[in-house]
Amino acid sequence: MSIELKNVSYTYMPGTPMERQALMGVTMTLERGRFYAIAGHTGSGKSTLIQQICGLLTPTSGEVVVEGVPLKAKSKEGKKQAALARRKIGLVFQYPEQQLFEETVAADVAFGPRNQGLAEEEIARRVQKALALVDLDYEAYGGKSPFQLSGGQKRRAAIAGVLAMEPEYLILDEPTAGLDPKGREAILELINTLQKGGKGREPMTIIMVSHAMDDILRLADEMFVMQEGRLTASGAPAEVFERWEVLSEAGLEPPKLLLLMERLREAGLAERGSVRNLKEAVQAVKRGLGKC
Amino acid sequence: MGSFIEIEALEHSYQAADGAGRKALGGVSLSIGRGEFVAVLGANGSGKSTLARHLNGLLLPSSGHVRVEGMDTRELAERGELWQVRSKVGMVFQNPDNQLIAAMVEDDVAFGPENLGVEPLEIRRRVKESLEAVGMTRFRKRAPHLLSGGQKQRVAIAGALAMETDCLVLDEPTAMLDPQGRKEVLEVVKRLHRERGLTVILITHFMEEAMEAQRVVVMDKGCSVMEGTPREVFAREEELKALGLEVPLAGELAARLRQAGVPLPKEAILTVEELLQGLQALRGKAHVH
Repeated sequence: MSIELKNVSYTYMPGTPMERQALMGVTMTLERGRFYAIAGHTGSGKSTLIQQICGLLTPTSGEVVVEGVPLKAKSKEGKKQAALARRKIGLVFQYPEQQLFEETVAADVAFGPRNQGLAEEEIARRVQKALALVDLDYEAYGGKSPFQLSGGQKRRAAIAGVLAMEPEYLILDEPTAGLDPKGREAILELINTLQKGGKGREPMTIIMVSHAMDDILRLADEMFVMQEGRLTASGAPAEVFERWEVLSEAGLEPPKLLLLMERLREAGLAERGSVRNLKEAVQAVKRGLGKC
Repeated sequence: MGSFIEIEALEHSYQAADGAGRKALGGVSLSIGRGEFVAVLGANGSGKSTLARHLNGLLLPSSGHVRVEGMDTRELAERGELWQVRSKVGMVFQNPDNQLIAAMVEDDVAFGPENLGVEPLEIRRRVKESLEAVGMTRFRKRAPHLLSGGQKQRVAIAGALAMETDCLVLDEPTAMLDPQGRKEVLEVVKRLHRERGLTVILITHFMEEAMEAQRVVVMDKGCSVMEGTPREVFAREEELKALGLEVPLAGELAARLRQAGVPLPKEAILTVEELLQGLQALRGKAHVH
Protein backbone atom coordinates (compact mmCIF):
# COMPACT_ATOMS: atom_id res chain seq x y z
CA MET A 1 0.00 0.00 0.00
CA SER A 2 1.55 3.26 -1.10
CA ILE A 3 1.26 6.51 -2.99
CA GLU A 4 3.26 6.51 -6.18
CA LEU A 5 4.36 9.47 -8.25
CA LYS A 6 5.39 8.41 -11.72
CA ASN A 7 7.45 10.90 -13.69
CA VAL A 8 5.29 13.82 -12.56
CA SER A 9 5.84 17.18 -14.24
CA TYR A 10 3.82 20.31 -13.72
CA THR A 11 3.77 23.65 -15.50
CA TYR A 12 1.99 26.68 -14.08
CA MET A 13 0.01 28.75 -16.60
CA PRO A 14 1.18 26.89 -19.72
CA GLY A 15 1.06 28.83 -22.99
CA THR A 16 1.14 32.23 -21.27
CA PRO A 17 4.06 34.63 -20.69
CA MET A 18 3.86 33.59 -17.00
CA GLU A 19 4.55 29.93 -17.87
CA ARG A 20 6.81 28.29 -15.30
CA GLN A 21 7.76 24.66 -14.98
CA ALA A 22 7.54 23.86 -11.27
CA LEU A 23 8.08 20.09 -11.32
CA MET A 24 10.17 18.03 -13.70
CA GLY A 25 9.93 14.24 -13.88
CA VAL A 26 9.49 13.49 -10.18
CA THR A 27 9.20 9.80 -9.31
CA MET A 28 8.77 8.66 -5.71
CA THR A 29 7.04 6.03 -3.60
CA LEU A 30 5.46 6.83 -0.24
CA GLU A 31 4.78 3.66 1.70
CA ARG A 32 2.18 3.29 4.42
CA GLY A 33 3.23 4.00 7.98
CA ARG A 34 6.55 5.72 7.29
CA PHE A 35 7.81 9.21 8.11
CA TYR A 36 8.93 11.17 5.05
CA ALA A 37 10.47 14.61 4.93
CA ILE A 38 10.74 16.93 1.95
CA ALA A 39 13.50 19.55 2.00
CA GLY A 40 14.36 22.26 -0.46
CA HIS A 41 14.96 25.96 -0.84
CA THR A 42 11.98 28.31 -1.22
CA GLY A 43 10.79 27.97 -4.82
CA SER A 44 12.25 24.48 -5.28
CA GLY A 45 8.82 22.96 -5.97
CA LYS A 46 8.02 21.51 -2.52
CA SER A 47 4.57 23.06 -2.26
CA THR A 48 3.67 22.12 -5.83
CA LEU A 49 4.82 18.59 -5.08
CA ILE A 50 2.59 18.12 -2.05
CA GLN A 51 -0.38 19.53 -3.92
CA GLN A 52 0.22 16.84 -6.54
CA ILE A 53 0.40 14.11 -3.92
CA CYS A 54 -3.02 14.97 -2.55
CA GLY A 55 -4.63 15.67 -5.90
CA LEU A 56 -5.15 19.42 -5.49
CA LEU A 57 -3.18 19.86 -8.70
CA THR A 58 -3.19 17.47 -11.64
CA PRO A 59 0.13 16.67 -13.34
CA THR A 60 0.80 18.24 -16.75
CA SER A 61 2.41 14.88 -17.54
CA GLY A 62 3.01 11.70 -15.53
CA GLU A 63 0.61 10.35 -12.94
CA VAL A 64 -0.13 10.01 -9.24
CA VAL A 65 -1.47 6.64 -8.05
CA VAL A 66 -2.92 6.31 -4.56
CA GLU A 67 -3.09 2.71 -3.35
CA GLY A 68 -3.55 1.46 -6.89
CA VAL A 69 -6.03 4.15 -7.93
CA PRO A 70 -4.88 6.74 -10.50
CA LEU A 71 -6.01 10.23 -9.40
CA LYS A 72 -6.41 11.38 -13.00
CA ALA A 73 -9.38 9.36 -14.25
CA LYS A 74 -11.63 9.77 -17.26
CA SER A 75 -14.53 7.38 -16.67
CA LYS A 76 -17.28 8.15 -14.18
CA GLU A 77 -16.36 5.12 -12.07
CA GLY A 78 -12.69 6.04 -12.22
CA LYS A 79 -13.45 9.56 -10.97
CA LYS A 80 -15.49 8.16 -8.11
CA GLN A 81 -12.63 5.87 -7.10
CA ALA A 82 -10.17 8.76 -7.35
CA ALA A 83 -12.34 10.91 -5.08
CA LEU A 84 -12.43 8.13 -2.49
CA ALA A 85 -8.66 7.64 -2.76
CA ARG A 86 -8.05 11.36 -2.25
CA ARG A 87 -9.97 11.20 1.03
CA LYS A 88 -7.19 9.02 2.41
CA ILE A 89 -4.86 11.99 2.25
CA GLY A 90 -5.01 14.97 4.59
CA LEU A 91 -3.14 18.21 3.95
CA VAL A 92 -2.14 20.72 6.60
CA PHE A 93 -1.18 23.94 4.85
CA GLN A 94 1.44 26.38 6.05
CA TYR A 95 0.06 28.57 8.86
CA PRO A 96 -3.15 26.49 8.94
CA GLU A 97 -4.50 28.59 11.81
CA GLN A 98 -5.15 31.39 9.32
CA GLN A 99 -7.97 29.22 7.99
CA LEU A 100 -9.85 28.84 11.28
CA PHE A 101 -13.19 30.54 10.76
CA GLU A 102 -15.98 28.97 12.84
CA GLU A 103 -17.35 30.46 16.05
CA THR A 104 -16.09 27.65 18.23
CA VAL A 105 -13.14 25.28 18.10
CA ALA A 106 -15.48 22.26 18.05
CA ALA A 107 -17.48 23.65 15.11
CA ASP A 108 -14.30 24.34 13.19
CA VAL A 109 -13.01 20.80 13.68
CA ALA A 110 -16.46 19.45 12.71
CA PHE A 111 -16.51 21.35 9.43
CA GLY A 112 -14.79 18.67 7.30
CA PRO A 113 -16.70 15.63 8.57
CA ARG A 114 -19.97 17.56 8.30
CA ASN A 115 -19.14 18.45 4.70
CA GLN A 116 -18.71 14.76 4.01
CA GLY A 117 -22.30 14.25 5.15
CA LEU A 118 -21.49 12.08 8.17
CA ALA A 119 -24.07 11.43 10.90
CA GLU A 120 -24.04 13.89 13.84
CA GLU A 121 -22.99 11.15 16.27
CA GLU A 122 -20.05 10.21 14.11
CA ILE A 123 -19.10 13.88 13.74
CA ALA A 124 -19.15 14.35 17.51
CA ARG A 125 -17.02 11.24 18.02
CA ARG A 126 -14.47 12.44 15.49
CA VAL A 127 -14.27 15.96 16.93
CA GLN A 128 -13.63 14.63 20.42
CA LYS A 129 -11.04 12.17 19.19
CA ALA A 130 -9.23 14.74 17.02
CA LEU A 131 -9.07 17.32 19.82
CA ALA A 132 -7.78 14.67 22.23
CA LEU A 133 -5.07 13.73 19.73
CA VAL A 134 -3.79 17.31 19.51
CA ASP A 135 -3.96 17.63 23.29
CA LEU A 136 -6.73 20.24 23.44
CA ASP A 137 -9.23 19.28 26.12
CA TYR A 138 -12.72 19.14 24.58
CA GLU A 139 -14.45 20.43 27.71
CA ALA A 140 -12.06 23.33 28.15
CA TYR A 141 -11.54 24.38 24.52
CA GLY A 142 -14.38 22.93 22.40
CA GLY A 143 -16.72 25.85 23.15
CA LYS A 144 -14.11 28.60 22.91
CA SER A 145 -13.61 30.87 19.94
CA PRO A 146 -10.51 29.82 17.97
CA PHE A 147 -9.30 33.39 18.37
CA GLN A 148 -9.06 33.02 22.14
CA LEU A 149 -6.35 30.39 21.78
CA SER A 150 -2.59 30.94 21.81
CA GLY A 151 -0.60 30.63 18.58
CA GLY A 152 0.48 27.05 19.23
CA GLN A 153 -3.04 26.04 20.33
CA LYS A 154 -4.59 27.59 17.21
CA ARG A 155 -2.26 25.58 15.06
CA ARG A 156 -3.13 22.37 16.90
CA ALA A 157 -6.85 23.14 16.53
CA ALA A 158 -6.34 23.57 12.78
CA ILE A 159 -4.50 20.25 12.58
CA ALA A 160 -7.37 18.63 14.49
CA GLY A 161 -9.68 19.79 11.69
CA VAL A 162 -7.65 17.71 9.24
CA LEU A 163 -7.35 14.74 11.62
CA ALA A 164 -11.15 14.67 12.00
CA MET A 165 -11.25 13.59 8.35
CA GLU A 166 -9.33 10.50 9.52
CA PRO A 167 -6.68 10.53 6.80
CA GLU A 168 -4.27 7.64 6.39
CA TYR A 169 -1.62 9.86 4.86
CA LEU A 170 -0.95 13.24 6.46
CA ILE A 171 0.96 15.92 4.57
CA LEU A 172 2.20 18.92 6.57
CA ASP A 173 3.74 22.01 4.96
CA GLU A 174 6.24 23.44 7.43
CA PRO A 175 4.09 22.66 10.44
CA THR A 176 6.39 24.37 12.95
CA ALA A 177 6.99 27.64 11.06
CA GLY A 178 6.66 30.74 13.21
CA LEU A 179 6.24 28.88 16.53
CA ASP A 180 8.48 29.26 19.57
CA PRO A 181 10.66 26.31 20.68
CA LYS A 182 8.01 24.90 23.02
CA GLY A 183 5.29 25.14 20.35
CA ARG A 184 7.59 23.54 17.79
CA GLU A 185 8.36 20.64 20.09
CA ALA A 186 4.66 20.07 20.84
CA ILE A 187 3.80 19.86 17.13
CA LEU A 188 6.70 17.52 16.36
CA GLU A 189 5.74 15.27 19.23
CA LEU A 190 2.15 15.17 17.97
CA ILE A 191 3.34 14.21 14.47
CA ASN A 192 5.59 11.52 15.89
CA THR A 193 2.71 10.09 17.94
CA LEU A 194 0.44 10.02 14.90
CA GLN A 195 3.07 8.20 12.88
CA LYS A 196 3.75 5.63 15.62
CA GLY A 197 0.05 4.76 16.01
CA GLY A 198 -1.02 2.63 18.98
CA LYS A 199 -3.98 2.90 21.37
CA GLY A 200 -6.23 1.45 18.66
CA ARG A 201 -4.89 3.80 15.99
CA GLU A 202 -3.17 2.65 12.82
CA PRO A 203 0.24 4.21 12.22
CA MET A 204 -0.22 7.24 9.98
CA THR A 205 2.01 7.99 7.03
CA ILE A 206 3.65 11.38 7.50
CA ILE A 207 4.94 13.60 4.72
CA MET A 208 6.47 16.71 6.27
CA VAL A 209 7.92 19.67 4.40
CA SER A 210 10.57 21.24 6.60
CA HIS A 211 13.45 23.70 6.62
CA ALA A 212 14.69 22.31 9.93
CA MET A 213 17.36 19.79 9.00
CA ASP A 214 17.94 18.73 12.60
CA ASP A 215 14.26 17.76 12.90
CA ILE A 216 14.45 15.77 9.67
CA LEU A 217 17.55 13.93 10.89
CA ARG A 218 15.90 13.12 14.20
CA LEU A 219 12.47 12.05 12.95
CA ALA A 220 12.26 11.02 9.30
CA ASP A 221 12.71 7.51 7.92
CA GLU A 222 13.38 8.89 4.49
CA MET A 223 13.96 12.31 3.00
CA PHE A 224 13.61 13.89 -0.43
CA VAL A 225 15.66 16.87 -1.59
CA MET A 226 14.03 19.16 -4.16
CA GLN A 227 15.95 21.61 -6.29
CA GLU A 228 14.50 23.72 -9.10
CA GLY A 229 11.58 21.35 -9.61
CA ARG A 230 13.68 18.20 -9.62
CA LEU A 231 14.15 15.49 -7.04
CA THR A 232 17.93 15.50 -6.57
CA ALA A 233 18.39 13.10 -3.65
CA SER A 234 16.41 10.64 -1.58
CA GLY A 235 17.16 8.10 1.11
CA ALA A 236 17.70 7.80 4.86
CA PRO A 237 18.50 11.30 6.26
CA ALA A 238 21.83 10.18 7.71
CA GLU A 239 22.92 9.07 4.23
CA VAL A 240 21.52 12.04 2.34
CA PHE A 241 23.17 14.46 4.77
CA GLU A 242 26.54 12.92 3.98
CA ARG A 243 26.22 14.13 0.40
CA TRP A 244 27.16 17.71 1.22
CA GLU A 245 27.60 18.73 -2.42
CA VAL A 246 23.98 17.77 -3.22
CA LEU A 247 22.80 19.69 -0.16
CA SER A 248 24.75 22.84 -0.88
CA GLU A 249 23.61 22.82 -4.51
CA ALA A 250 20.04 22.64 -3.25
CA GLY A 251 20.77 25.60 -0.97
CA LEU A 252 20.49 23.55 2.22
CA GLU A 253 22.80 23.32 5.18
CA PRO A 254 23.56 20.06 6.99
CA PRO A 255 21.99 19.60 10.45
CA LYS A 256 23.82 21.49 13.19
CA LEU A 257 24.26 18.27 15.13
CA LEU A 258 26.18 16.68 12.25
CA LEU A 259 28.41 19.75 11.85
CA LEU A 260 29.19 19.61 15.56
CA MET A 261 29.90 15.86 15.48
CA GLU A 262 32.16 16.32 12.45
CA ARG A 263 34.30 18.77 14.42
CA LEU A 264 34.50 16.38 17.35
CA ARG A 265 35.47 13.48 15.08
CA GLU A 266 38.17 15.50 13.34
CA ALA A 267 39.69 16.09 16.77
CA GLY A 268 39.41 12.39 17.52
CA LEU A 269 36.90 13.05 20.29
CA ALA A 270 33.95 11.08 18.92
CA GLU A 271 33.55 7.75 17.24
CA ARG A 272 32.65 7.54 13.56
CA GLY A 273 29.20 6.40 12.59
CA SER A 274 25.85 8.05 12.09
CA VAL A 275 24.24 10.04 14.87
CA ARG A 276 20.59 11.12 14.70
CA ASN A 277 19.98 12.82 18.04
CA LEU A 278 21.69 14.10 21.19
CA LYS A 279 21.38 10.76 22.94
CA GLU A 280 23.34 9.03 20.19
CA ALA A 281 25.80 11.93 20.16
CA VAL A 282 26.54 11.37 23.87
CA GLN A 283 27.24 7.69 23.18
CA ALA A 284 29.53 8.51 20.25
CA VAL A 285 31.54 10.96 22.38
CA LYS A 286 31.78 8.52 25.28
CA ARG A 287 33.07 5.80 23.00
CA GLY A 288 35.44 8.28 21.36
CA LEU A 289 36.86 9.27 24.74
CA GLY A 290 37.06 5.67 25.89
CA LYS A 291 39.48 4.86 23.12
CA CYS A 292 42.14 7.31 24.20
CA MET B 1 26.70 55.38 25.57
CA GLY B 2 24.00 57.52 27.15
CA SER B 3 20.59 56.10 27.83
CA PHE B 4 18.40 56.30 24.73
CA ILE B 5 15.26 54.51 25.88
CA GLU B 6 14.23 54.39 29.53
CA ILE B 7 11.54 51.94 30.55
CA GLU B 8 10.40 52.40 34.11
CA ALA B 9 8.03 50.02 35.97
CA LEU B 10 6.08 49.51 32.76
CA GLU B 11 2.75 47.73 33.11
CA HIS B 12 0.27 47.02 30.36
CA SER B 13 -3.13 45.36 30.46
CA TYR B 14 -5.24 44.36 27.50
CA GLN B 15 -8.99 44.42 27.64
CA ALA B 16 -10.15 40.81 27.17
CA ALA B 17 -13.38 39.89 25.33
CA ASP B 18 -15.21 39.42 28.64
CA GLY B 19 -14.28 42.93 29.75
CA ALA B 20 -11.67 41.77 32.25
CA GLY B 21 -8.14 43.13 31.99
CA ARG B 22 -5.32 40.75 31.20
CA LYS B 23 -1.91 41.90 32.32
CA ALA B 24 0.61 41.46 29.50
CA LEU B 25 3.43 43.37 31.19
CA GLY B 26 3.85 43.36 34.92
CA GLY B 27 6.42 46.00 35.76
CA VAL B 28 9.36 46.02 33.36
CA SER B 29 12.27 48.35 33.93
CA LEU B 30 14.98 48.52 31.34
CA SER B 31 17.41 51.05 30.03
CA ILE B 32 18.75 50.89 26.49
CA GLY B 33 21.85 52.84 25.55
CA ARG B 34 22.34 54.77 22.34
CA GLY B 35 23.95 52.48 19.76
CA GLU B 36 23.32 49.37 21.79
CA PHE B 37 22.19 46.03 20.29
CA VAL B 38 19.76 44.34 22.67
CA ALA B 39 17.93 41.07 22.02
CA VAL B 40 14.68 40.36 23.83
CA LEU B 41 14.12 36.63 24.07
CA GLY B 42 10.98 34.92 25.25
CA ALA B 43 8.39 32.25 24.44
CA ASN B 44 5.07 33.14 22.79
CA GLY B 45 2.89 35.06 25.21
CA SER B 46 5.81 36.23 27.35
CA GLY B 47 5.03 39.87 26.63
CA LYS B 48 7.95 40.63 24.34
CA SER B 49 5.81 41.97 21.47
CA THR B 50 3.78 44.10 23.87
CA LEU B 51 7.04 45.53 25.16
CA ALA B 52 8.23 46.23 21.60
CA ARG B 53 5.04 48.10 20.74
CA HIS B 54 5.62 50.48 23.65
CA LEU B 55 8.97 51.60 22.30
CA ASN B 56 7.51 53.83 19.60
CA GLY B 57 4.19 54.58 21.20
CA LEU B 58 2.03 52.07 19.32
CA LEU B 59 0.91 51.07 22.79
CA LEU B 60 0.93 53.34 25.82
CA PRO B 61 1.69 52.20 29.36
CA SER B 62 -1.22 51.32 31.67
CA SER B 63 1.18 52.48 34.35
CA GLY B 64 4.86 53.32 34.46
CA HIS B 65 6.81 55.23 31.83
CA VAL B 66 8.56 54.82 28.52
CA ARG B 67 10.90 57.65 27.65
CA VAL B 68 12.71 58.00 24.34
CA GLU B 69 15.49 60.58 24.60
CA GLY B 70 13.74 61.85 27.67
CA MET B 71 10.35 62.21 25.97
CA ASP B 72 7.55 60.41 27.80
CA THR B 73 5.34 58.56 25.29
CA ARG B 74 2.17 59.11 27.31
CA GLU B 75 2.76 62.84 27.59
CA LEU B 76 3.50 63.03 23.86
CA ALA B 77 0.28 61.16 23.09
CA GLU B 78 -1.71 63.61 25.19
CA ARG B 79 -0.22 66.47 23.19
CA GLY B 80 -0.76 64.59 19.91
CA GLU B 81 2.98 64.57 19.28
CA LEU B 82 3.77 60.88 19.07
CA TRP B 83 5.38 61.52 15.68
CA GLN B 84 8.38 62.77 17.60
CA VAL B 85 8.99 59.25 18.89
CA ARG B 86 8.06 57.56 15.65
CA SER B 87 10.69 59.57 13.79
CA LYS B 88 13.32 58.25 16.17
CA VAL B 89 12.21 54.63 16.57
CA GLY B 90 11.29 52.54 13.53
CA MET B 91 9.44 49.25 13.73
CA VAL B 92 9.66 46.12 11.61
CA PHE B 93 7.03 43.45 12.17
CA GLN B 94 6.90 39.70 11.82
CA ASN B 95 4.76 39.23 8.75
CA PRO B 96 6.55 40.47 5.61
CA ASP B 97 3.26 40.58 3.72
CA ASN B 98 1.53 42.95 6.12
CA GLN B 99 3.80 45.97 6.02
CA LEU B 100 4.55 46.75 2.39
CA ILE B 101 1.89 48.85 0.74
CA ALA B 102 3.14 50.39 -2.50
CA ALA B 103 3.23 48.78 -5.96
CA MET B 104 6.94 49.36 -6.33
CA VAL B 105 9.81 48.87 -3.88
CA GLU B 106 11.13 52.43 -4.07
CA ASP B 107 7.64 53.91 -3.63
CA ASP B 108 7.22 51.81 -0.54
CA VAL B 109 10.47 53.10 0.96
CA ALA B 110 9.46 56.67 0.03
CA PHE B 111 6.07 56.40 1.73
CA GLY B 112 7.20 57.48 5.20
CA PRO B 113 9.21 60.59 4.26
CA GLU B 114 6.51 61.58 1.71
CA ASN B 115 3.97 61.56 4.49
CA LEU B 116 6.18 63.83 6.57
CA GLY B 117 6.29 66.29 3.67
CA VAL B 118 10.01 65.89 3.03
CA GLU B 119 11.38 67.65 -0.10
CA PRO B 120 11.24 65.40 -3.22
CA LEU B 121 14.99 65.60 -3.85
CA GLU B 122 15.68 64.72 -0.25
CA ILE B 123 13.26 61.79 -0.50
CA ARG B 124 15.16 60.51 -3.53
CA ARG B 125 18.43 60.69 -1.66
CA ARG B 126 17.00 58.86 1.36
CA VAL B 127 15.37 56.13 -0.73
CA LYS B 128 18.60 55.55 -2.64
CA GLU B 129 20.73 55.39 0.52
CA SER B 130 18.27 53.22 2.42
CA LEU B 131 17.99 50.66 -0.36
CA GLU B 132 21.77 50.58 -0.64
CA ALA B 133 22.08 50.02 3.08
CA VAL B 134 19.95 46.86 2.93
CA GLY B 135 21.35 45.66 -0.40
CA MET B 136 18.09 46.03 -2.32
CA THR B 137 19.03 48.71 -4.88
CA ARG B 138 18.80 46.17 -7.70
CA PHE B 139 15.15 45.52 -6.84
CA ARG B 140 14.03 49.14 -6.56
CA LYS B 141 11.63 48.94 -9.53
CA ARG B 142 10.18 45.56 -8.56
CA ALA B 143 6.74 44.83 -7.14
CA PRO B 144 7.13 44.02 -3.42
CA HIS B 145 4.81 41.01 -3.56
CA LEU B 146 7.13 39.25 -5.99
CA LEU B 147 10.09 39.41 -3.59
CA SER B 148 11.16 36.62 -1.23
CA GLY B 149 10.31 36.93 2.47
CA GLY B 150 13.86 37.98 3.37
CA GLN B 151 13.87 40.62 0.65
CA LYS B 152 10.51 41.99 1.81
CA GLN B 153 11.84 42.37 5.34
CA ARG B 154 14.90 44.20 4.02
CA VAL B 155 12.59 46.61 2.19
CA ALA B 156 10.66 47.12 5.43
CA ILE B 157 13.94 47.94 7.17
CA ALA B 158 14.81 50.37 4.35
CA GLY B 159 11.43 52.03 4.93
CA ALA B 160 12.41 52.66 8.55
CA LEU B 161 15.86 53.93 7.57
CA ALA B 162 14.33 56.40 5.10
CA MET B 163 12.65 58.03 8.12
CA GLU B 164 16.19 58.55 9.43
CA THR B 165 15.39 56.77 12.63
CA ASP B 166 18.13 56.32 15.22
CA CYS B 167 16.70 53.07 16.47
CA LEU B 168 15.20 49.98 14.93
CA VAL B 169 12.81 47.73 16.84
CA LEU B 170 12.35 44.40 15.07
CA ASP B 171 9.52 42.22 16.33
CA GLU B 172 10.38 38.63 15.34
CA PRO B 173 11.43 39.79 11.87
CA THR B 174 12.61 36.33 10.82
CA ALA B 175 9.92 34.07 12.33
CA MET B 176 8.17 33.58 9.00
CA LEU B 177 11.29 33.30 6.84
CA ASP B 178 13.26 30.34 5.54
CA PRO B 179 16.89 29.85 6.71
CA GLN B 180 18.27 31.85 3.78
CA GLY B 181 15.92 34.77 4.48
CA ARG B 182 16.75 34.65 8.17
CA LYS B 183 20.44 34.92 7.43
CA GLU B 184 19.93 37.87 5.02
CA VAL B 185 17.91 39.87 7.52
CA LEU B 186 20.22 39.20 10.45
CA GLU B 187 23.28 40.19 8.37
CA VAL B 188 21.66 43.50 7.44
CA VAL B 189 20.68 44.21 11.04
CA LYS B 190 24.18 43.45 12.30
CA ARG B 191 25.75 45.63 9.63
CA LEU B 192 23.47 48.59 10.32
CA HIS B 193 24.33 48.37 13.98
CA ARG B 194 28.06 48.09 13.35
CA GLU B 195 28.47 50.60 10.55
CA ARG B 196 25.84 53.21 11.36
CA GLY B 197 25.73 52.87 15.11
CA LEU B 198 21.99 52.23 14.92
CA THR B 199 20.37 51.25 18.21
CA VAL B 200 18.83 47.81 17.64
CA ILE B 201 16.20 46.03 19.71
CA LEU B 202 15.62 42.58 18.29
CA ILE B 203 12.65 40.61 19.59
CA THR B 204 13.15 36.94 18.81
CA HIS B 205 12.76 33.39 19.95
CA PHE B 206 15.75 32.22 17.96
CA MET B 207 18.68 31.62 20.24
CA GLU B 208 21.23 32.04 17.40
CA GLU B 209 19.97 35.57 16.76
CA ALA B 210 20.13 36.55 20.40
CA MET B 211 23.75 35.35 20.50
CA GLU B 212 24.65 38.20 18.12
CA ALA B 213 23.46 40.92 20.50
CA GLN B 214 25.52 42.81 23.08
CA ARG B 215 22.90 42.22 25.74
CA VAL B 216 20.07 39.73 26.11
CA VAL B 217 16.89 40.31 28.08
CA VAL B 218 14.74 37.24 28.73
CA MET B 219 11.01 37.77 29.21
CA ASP B 220 8.55 35.45 30.91
CA LYS B 221 4.94 36.11 31.92
CA GLY B 222 5.24 39.83 31.32
CA CYS B 223 8.41 40.31 33.34
CA SER B 224 12.09 40.54 32.59
CA VAL B 225 13.54 37.43 34.30
CA MET B 226 17.15 37.39 33.08
CA GLU B 227 19.52 39.98 31.73
CA GLY B 228 23.15 39.94 30.73
CA THR B 229 25.60 39.29 27.94
CA PRO B 230 24.70 36.35 25.69
CA ARG B 231 27.39 34.32 27.50
CA GLU B 232 25.95 35.07 30.92
CA VAL B 233 22.41 34.31 29.85
CA PHE B 234 23.01 31.17 27.79
CA ALA B 235 25.12 29.63 30.53
CA ARG B 236 21.86 29.33 32.53
CA GLU B 237 20.82 26.35 30.47
CA GLU B 238 18.35 24.74 32.88
CA GLU B 239 16.43 27.96 33.49
CA LEU B 240 16.17 28.78 29.80
CA LYS B 241 14.81 25.34 29.01
CA ALA B 242 12.27 25.65 31.79
CA LEU B 243 11.07 28.84 30.07
CA GLY B 244 10.60 26.89 26.83
CA LEU B 245 13.64 28.43 25.14
CA GLU B 246 16.53 26.93 23.24
CA VAL B 247 20.14 26.75 24.34
CA PRO B 248 23.19 26.47 22.04
CA LEU B 249 23.69 22.95 20.74
CA ALA B 250 27.27 22.62 22.06
CA GLY B 251 26.01 23.67 25.51
CA GLU B 252 23.20 21.17 25.38
CA LEU B 253 25.52 18.32 24.40
CA ALA B 254 27.88 19.35 27.20
CA ALA B 255 25.01 19.20 29.70
CA ARG B 256 23.98 15.75 28.46
CA LEU B 257 27.59 14.54 28.67
CA ARG B 258 27.87 15.77 32.25
CA GLN B 259 24.64 13.93 33.09
CA ALA B 260 26.11 10.79 31.51
CA GLY B 261 29.09 11.03 33.86
CA VAL B 262 31.66 12.74 31.63
CA PRO B 263 33.56 15.05 34.04
CA LEU B 264 33.70 18.16 31.88
CA PRO B 265 35.09 21.29 33.56
CA LYS B 266 32.60 23.40 35.48
CA GLU B 267 33.03 26.53 33.32
CA ALA B 268 30.17 27.25 30.97
CA ILE B 269 30.42 25.61 27.56
CA LEU B 270 28.54 27.45 24.81
CA THR B 271 30.54 27.10 21.62
CA VAL B 272 31.93 24.17 19.67
CA GLU B 273 35.46 25.41 20.47
CA GLU B 274 34.78 25.36 24.18
CA LEU B 275 33.37 21.85 23.97
CA LEU B 276 36.43 20.71 22.01
CA GLN B 277 38.75 22.24 24.62
CA GLY B 278 36.82 20.70 27.49
CA LEU B 279 36.91 17.23 25.96
CA GLN B 280 40.58 17.56 24.97
CA ALA B 281 41.46 18.42 28.54
CA LEU B 282 39.75 15.21 29.64
CA ARG B 283 41.69 13.19 27.13
CA GLY B 284 44.90 14.78 28.40
CA LYS B 285 44.10 13.56 31.90
CA ALA B 286 43.29 10.08 30.61
CA HIS B 287 46.81 9.87 29.18
CA VAL B 288 48.39 10.76 32.51
CA HIS B 289 46.60 7.97 34.36
